[in-house]
Amino acid sequence: MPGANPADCRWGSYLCADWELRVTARCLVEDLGREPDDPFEDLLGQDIIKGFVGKRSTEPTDTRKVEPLTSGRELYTLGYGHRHRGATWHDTQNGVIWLCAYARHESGAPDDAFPYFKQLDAEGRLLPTRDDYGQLIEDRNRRFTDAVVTDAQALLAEAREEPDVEKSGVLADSVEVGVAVEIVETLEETWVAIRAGDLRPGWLDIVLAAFFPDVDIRGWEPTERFPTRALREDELCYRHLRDQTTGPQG
Amino acid sequence: MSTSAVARLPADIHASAKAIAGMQGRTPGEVIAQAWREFVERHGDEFAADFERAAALIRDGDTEGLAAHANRFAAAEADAALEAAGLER
Repeated sequence: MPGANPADCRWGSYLCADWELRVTARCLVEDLGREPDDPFEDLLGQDIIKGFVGKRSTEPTDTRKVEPLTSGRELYTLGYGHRHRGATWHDTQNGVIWLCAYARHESGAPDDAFPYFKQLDAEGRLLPTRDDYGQLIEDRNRRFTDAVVTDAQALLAEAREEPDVEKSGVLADSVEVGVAVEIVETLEETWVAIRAGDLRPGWLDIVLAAFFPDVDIRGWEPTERFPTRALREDELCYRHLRDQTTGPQG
Repeated sequence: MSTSAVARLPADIHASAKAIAGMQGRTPGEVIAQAWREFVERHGDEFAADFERAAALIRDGDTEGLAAHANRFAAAEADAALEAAGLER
C-alpha cells in the first residue's frame, strides 16, 4: 500500500491521477474530531486517512460494500488494521472519492462501525452535502488561480522562443491550450487556442488575462483560425496583436 | 435545442452542456465552445468587465482576490455538481 505524499495534498483534497480524495465535513467533525475546513495534509497522521490514501488513490472500489443502504448508493468499506473502518463513495460525475464516515470496528458492539454507517444513511447524513460540493468547487478554483498565471507566462515564453510553432500545455493542470507566436517586422501576433470543455464558468477571462494582464479586452480578438493547424470544434481561439516598439495594442 | 437558450450565464452553459450535447450528438466541449462564443458576443460588456477585473488582480499580484473572482459562480457550480452527483440539497 503506497504511503501518502504531502505534495499531493491541496487544501481539502488529496490529488490522485484520475480523481481526488476528500472527507465530508460531517465525517471530519463528528467522526474524526477535526474542524470542517482542516486541510488534508493535517489529516495524514490519522490511521483511517492512511488507509484512505493508500487504498483509494489507486482503486475506487473494494471487496466489501456497505449494504444494504436506504439511499441505494454503492459505498465501499475501507479497512485499515483490525479496528479502523470507513465508508467511501466514488462520485464519478465530479471526480471525487469521498470518505463519508469513519468508526472503530468492534464486532457485535452496539457502536460497531457498520450499524453506525447504516444509521447515518437512514438519517440522510452519510453522503456529501451541498456545502461539501461548495468547498470542493472553491478549492478547485483556488488551485486553478494559484498556477494559471505562471503556467501561461511560461508557455508564452516558449512560443516566443520558437515563432510559428505551436506550444501546447495544460494550464494549472486543468485547461489544455495551444499557443503560437508569429513575428512580422515589429508586430507580434499571439494565438491562443483553448479547450472549451476544460473551462469552468469563471475561467475564460482569467485564462486570457493570464497571458496579457496589461491590455484591455479589446486587445484580444476572437478568431476562427489558428496559424499552424485547423481548430477543433471544441476549441475557442483568440488572437492578440502587439507592436513590440510601442507595447500592447488595445 | 439551440445552445443560445442557455447562453445567459457561464454557469448555465456548463450545467446544461452535457445534456444538450447528448441531444445534439456532439461533445460537451463543442457545446460549451459554441455557447461561450455566443455569450461573449451577446454579453460583451459583462465579459469585458470580468476580464478587466481579472487582469487588475493579476497585475496587483492579488492571488486571494483572483481566487475570489474565480469563485463568483461557485454557488451555481456547487448546485450543478450536487445535481450531477444525483444528490438532493
